[in-house]
Amino acid sequence: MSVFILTLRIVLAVIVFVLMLYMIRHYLFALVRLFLPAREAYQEWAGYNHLTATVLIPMHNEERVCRGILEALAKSSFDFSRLQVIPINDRSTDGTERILDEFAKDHPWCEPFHRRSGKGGKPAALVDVTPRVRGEVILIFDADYTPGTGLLDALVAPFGDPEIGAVMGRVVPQNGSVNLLTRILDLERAGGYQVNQQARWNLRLVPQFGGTVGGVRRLALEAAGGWDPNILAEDTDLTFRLLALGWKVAYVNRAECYEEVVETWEARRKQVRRWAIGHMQACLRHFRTLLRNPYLGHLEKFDSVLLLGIYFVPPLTLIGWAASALLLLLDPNPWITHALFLLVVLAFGTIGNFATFYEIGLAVALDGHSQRVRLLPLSLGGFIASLLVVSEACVRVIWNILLGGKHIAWDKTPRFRKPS
Amino acid sequence: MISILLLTLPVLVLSLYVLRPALREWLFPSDQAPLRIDPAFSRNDFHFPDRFLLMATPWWTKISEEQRSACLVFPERYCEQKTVLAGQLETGKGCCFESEIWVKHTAIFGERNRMRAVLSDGSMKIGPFSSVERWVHADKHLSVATGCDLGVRATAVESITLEPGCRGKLISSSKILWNGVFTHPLPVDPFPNARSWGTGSDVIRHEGTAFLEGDVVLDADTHLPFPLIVRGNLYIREGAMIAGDVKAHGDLVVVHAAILGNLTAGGRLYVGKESNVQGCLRGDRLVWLGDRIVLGRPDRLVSVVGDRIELEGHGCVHGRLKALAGDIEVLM
Repeated sequence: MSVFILTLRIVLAVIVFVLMLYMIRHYLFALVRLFLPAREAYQEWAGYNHLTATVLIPMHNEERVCRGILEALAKSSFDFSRLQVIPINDRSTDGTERILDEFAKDHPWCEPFHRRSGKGGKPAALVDVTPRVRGEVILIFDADYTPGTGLLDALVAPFGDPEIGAVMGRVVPQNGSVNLLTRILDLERAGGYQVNQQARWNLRLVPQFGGTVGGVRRLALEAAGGWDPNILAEDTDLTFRLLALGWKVAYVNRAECYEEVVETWEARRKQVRRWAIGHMQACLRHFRTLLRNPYLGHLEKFDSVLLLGIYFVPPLTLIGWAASALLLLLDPNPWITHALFLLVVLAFGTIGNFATFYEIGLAVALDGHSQRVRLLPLSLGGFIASLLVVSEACVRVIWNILLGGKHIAWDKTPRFRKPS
Repeated sequence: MISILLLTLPVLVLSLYVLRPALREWLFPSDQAPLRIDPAFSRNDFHFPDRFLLMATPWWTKISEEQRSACLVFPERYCEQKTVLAGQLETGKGCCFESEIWVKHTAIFGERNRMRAVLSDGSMKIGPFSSVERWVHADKHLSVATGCDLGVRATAVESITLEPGCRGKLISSSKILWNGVFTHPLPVDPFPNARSWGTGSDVIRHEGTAFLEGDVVLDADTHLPFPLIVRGNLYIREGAMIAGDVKAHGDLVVVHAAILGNLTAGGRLYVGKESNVQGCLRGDRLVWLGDRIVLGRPDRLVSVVGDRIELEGHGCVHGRLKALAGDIEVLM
């Protein structure tokens, strides 16, 4: 029994240590955003770069939204002689194909690509369209996004630095006021981009390429081996493949693009599950190469490890709670251990951040939407839900590894916008 | 009682509004009222004599005789803090303009003038040692004499000419020329511990981007057809030609070379004598542009960004200069 209790204590100590690392990291990010000026990612070059760009928009049954994004792109300030837009009709069975073809008749820069068979999912569609890409920079948007007039210029500008391999913009929900879930997601997005990503860029750490509202240098993508259709989080995977080759990722906070967040809890569950599985796959794939990466400094490596492991925190927290409960029942002197763990978990939840509390509050303040901060306590509900979904995804990934890598299917995120 | 008050109050306010001009005339008889800019008068060319003060003031302000003799005053509500002159504007020495000025023709400012913001639909000349607090824009040419401070932003559609001692934060035009003083060819020597490097003499990584560690001196007359990244200082010697972007994590020095791409330096960026760069420039600390350099083309504008920007000798930039922390300065 004493060996078991000792093991539990060691497990608990490790978990507490990991949670403290994350707490310090996020607290540091928040302080950086509070007190240091934001570092701009080459935005003085916006509109002066002469790189050619290709915009890829994967679409699967997107008749509700596909015209909206193309019309928004038509109003872009980007030089259309250097622009190629490829909406990828990925095996749609609705009116997407007809809408794309009609739009392309009047806009020569729009070259729809109709994909009628093959493997499902965004990475597979991106693989198939790659031979048609002519631009030096590849920009990717989801079909429900509404890019602003200067967004393409803002995203292309950092590629003037030859070391930048990928650029990430900021995603802002446009249906944030629909229901409680969208309001919570709106807060989470604000914390993730306004504080977390921007702080990492300020500190010259590793901002993450998010796979949408962002771009990748075609040269870098080819050098890294292109898109991988076998991974669900192709964005995280690509980020670390680029880092392994010495490219950097830039974050442009002012490159804001409006998206539609999910409006039902079921859709949210599937989305988080997909992200978690993909991120964990990327973590397992890149963890060792990351530690040996000669192009990254020690701090960059340390932050990258924490970034890769972020989706392992929820299952760790659950294990910590279970270990704590067992110690409470079995340990002859449990209160010290238990209190310590509880203290750290509470401290992590309040002054640290798991993409919720502290950073969200600060992001809301930085965005000037102070009234929204009243919703902050409700983020706890989202946190608990994510905790369970991500833990389930972790079990699924481990189960898959043990059973020999069974393919995990891609769940398409449903759209909620009414057709215009 | 309250109902009567509530009913009469709006009527009273409305009456006051309608009768306002008459009330003003009653409070300030015409012989004491501030001078007004007559629209007919403003359509003509206008010459402000020396030491003239053009200021906007609220209509209820009483102006003394002494002030009236020294300046042209007009009510604030009348011009909404903006003076519009339909003709040509020419000012004498030491004039001060506290409102924004919109000149619909050529504007010529004399020596030591002070302006808040000036917009000209034609060309504009700013006299020696004048200063602009906020911005200045000319739809044609902007000529700036010695020792002027151009405030936050100076723009012109066709060209801007800067004389020695001019300062600004952002200067933008399809052609920016400066006539500074030539002091010395380059304020830095090649880095003492740098290794020499030429085409084909080192590792070339993915898809032709050269990636080098430490301080590097690129040999004279080297031709590189691909981008170059150096994790240290980089010195590009005379006659080199690079068809790609160049980045140095430390200082970057370019002497008499042609670069067909962007230049990025983590430290200082020196672009020396007779260099030609067809891309944007960024130096995290200082950007120094030397004698007879040409940046960009009229059909390919470039952006030059640095904490401070120093311009020496004679040079030409097609595009924009922007100083993030200090000033853009034409060296004297």
